[in-house]
Amino acid sequence: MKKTTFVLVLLLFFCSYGTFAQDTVRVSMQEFIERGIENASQLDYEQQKIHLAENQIDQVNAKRYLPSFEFSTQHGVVPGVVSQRDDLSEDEYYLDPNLKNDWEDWAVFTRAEVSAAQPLFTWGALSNAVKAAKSAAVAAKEQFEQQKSDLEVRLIELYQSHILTNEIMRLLEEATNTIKDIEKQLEEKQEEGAEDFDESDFFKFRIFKSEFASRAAEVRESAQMTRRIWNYVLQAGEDTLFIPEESFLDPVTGELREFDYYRMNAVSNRSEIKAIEAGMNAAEYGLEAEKSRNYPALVLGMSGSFANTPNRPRQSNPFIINNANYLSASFGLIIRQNLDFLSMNANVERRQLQYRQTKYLREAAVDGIELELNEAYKNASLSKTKVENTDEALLISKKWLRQEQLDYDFDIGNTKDLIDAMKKELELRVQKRRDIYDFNTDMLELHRKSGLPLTPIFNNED
Amino acid sequence: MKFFKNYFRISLIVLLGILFVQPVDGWAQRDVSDIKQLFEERDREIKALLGPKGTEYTDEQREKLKNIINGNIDYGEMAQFALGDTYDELSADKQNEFVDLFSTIIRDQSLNKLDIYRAKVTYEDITVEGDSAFVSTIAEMDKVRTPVGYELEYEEKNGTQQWVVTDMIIDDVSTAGSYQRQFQRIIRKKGFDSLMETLRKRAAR
Repeated sequence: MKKTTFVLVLLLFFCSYGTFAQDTVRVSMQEFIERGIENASQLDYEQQKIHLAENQIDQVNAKRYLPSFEFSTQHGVVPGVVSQRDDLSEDEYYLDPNLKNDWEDWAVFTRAEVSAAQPLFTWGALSNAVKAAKSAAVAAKEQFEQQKSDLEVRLIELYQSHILTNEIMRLLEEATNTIKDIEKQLEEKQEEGAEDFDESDFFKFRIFKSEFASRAAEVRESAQMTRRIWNYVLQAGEDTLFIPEESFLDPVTGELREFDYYRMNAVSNRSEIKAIEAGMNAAEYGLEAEKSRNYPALVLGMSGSFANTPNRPRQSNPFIINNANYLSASFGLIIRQNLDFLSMNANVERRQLQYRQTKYLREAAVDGIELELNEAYKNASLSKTKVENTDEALLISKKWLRQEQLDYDFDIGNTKDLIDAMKKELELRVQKRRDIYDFNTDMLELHRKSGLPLTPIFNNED
Repeated sequence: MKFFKNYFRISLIVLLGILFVQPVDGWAQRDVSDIKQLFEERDREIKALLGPKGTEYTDEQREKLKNIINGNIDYGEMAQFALGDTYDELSADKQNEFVDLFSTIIRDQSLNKLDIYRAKVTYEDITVEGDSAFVSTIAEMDKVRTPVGYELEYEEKNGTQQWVVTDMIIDDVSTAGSYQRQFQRIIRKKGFDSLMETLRKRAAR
């Protein structure tokens, strides 16, 4: 019995070990972006808008060739005809005013009709409608690009935040070990009753230790959250752990250029502007198409009709139409003119308003971009300065710490000064990582607002 | 204060850098690629001597490691810089004693944590200007990067012209500069004799 229990426990152990074993997969920033975009439902939704716009082009294009082309057939059972006059042949029955239905002779009646109309000249109404639809499709594509860029920004920020979290976690781990060692040494000094032991320094140190523990807990929670979001974005299963390929958070290499450089790029490259400009084109072509409807259109019309009923004889006289048996065809030029000028003028006016609306929208967008860019440029400049200043402060703190370490090694140091130097150096190391993260994300935002490519700044390609 | 001393020793080992090499004939070459090759060769030599983690070393092996690690430091130059104008005011005997104490302290500390020398070293840049050179490296271990720079001088040592290390800039902090600040502070507060006494105590540990 004991042996069986032991085997069961062993089996359970190995089963559970297998269940929780995770594969670690390193993901580059590019791969992370690609997978994030692939899994984004919002972009799938936006993609359908492009398909709808392309479908609209097909629809408008189809109206250029045989927009009206119909074919119909009719079928039924009809009685034959019988004449009481012997002097008339079957193809002369129309001469018999007393011709009667023959209720004993039934046959199938079949009639087929075909009609078509091909516009020949419409004053540009159709070609402008096609151009308007094409411009609308361009606008849809640019709107998609805008959504995609926004998503890319969020994904890159998420990727960078994971590296930041990893870096801070490493610093915390290092600092936690250092704090433990310091506490042990201080306790030893306290027990020994060392001359240079200061009780108040020890209290301060323990307060710092508690505060540090709270901050460490915050960072660990933040790390967990980042991992959960990563798993969601990558749709990772429980058996896979995705981590960033890069271990270190470095500042982006591209330098911050003059403001005008970003402004010029924004006006010419931003998807939002391109989408509005495409919308303006669509409105302009739509206006032209609407104006064309005021003029007569030249159309080529064609029609054909055929009927056959076996028990009703065809009449040979061309002036006599027998609905049961006949064949006719016709084609010719048609001039069509809509005479509802009041409605047409109202439609033209609506189109003009729409065109003016898109023009103002572009101006408003340029104004908005100017404000956004100013904000983004200010943030990037400020965060760049912060990185530089923190770097300088960190260098000073390293020198200070080195000084205190040397003093201690030569037995002329002071506990409080060494602890203060270590605290400050640690704080500044963490601060520097955060400042780099802020700088990178601010530069990213600046590039997004300028319509510049996003990933090259992280690959030394700017 | 064992922790602080250990902490200092670990830091100093990092300070000393990953690659200090013996003054052999190869160090007489003055080309950038040759300097890099020599650094790489010595790095391999140290790593080969270190072996895998957990290796126990004999006294002979430790001495050999100490020689390779510290072999090409110009202690005289570094000590002179650290002491500043005071150095010139000293007698030759005092100067020699000071340099001996300084080198003893650095050599002793270099073997306190050998794992440091297992770090992966990447050479970022090597510049040579006349008789001076600067080697910029990144030492990476356990996902911690430490920039390590070496200032080199091409000068006569042990009868041959060769590259010698005159300063190590570890994690952006100059080793010679740190010693200079500390020594000057002690001299300013307590005088040169007190500094010598402190160094003697430290070297005797």
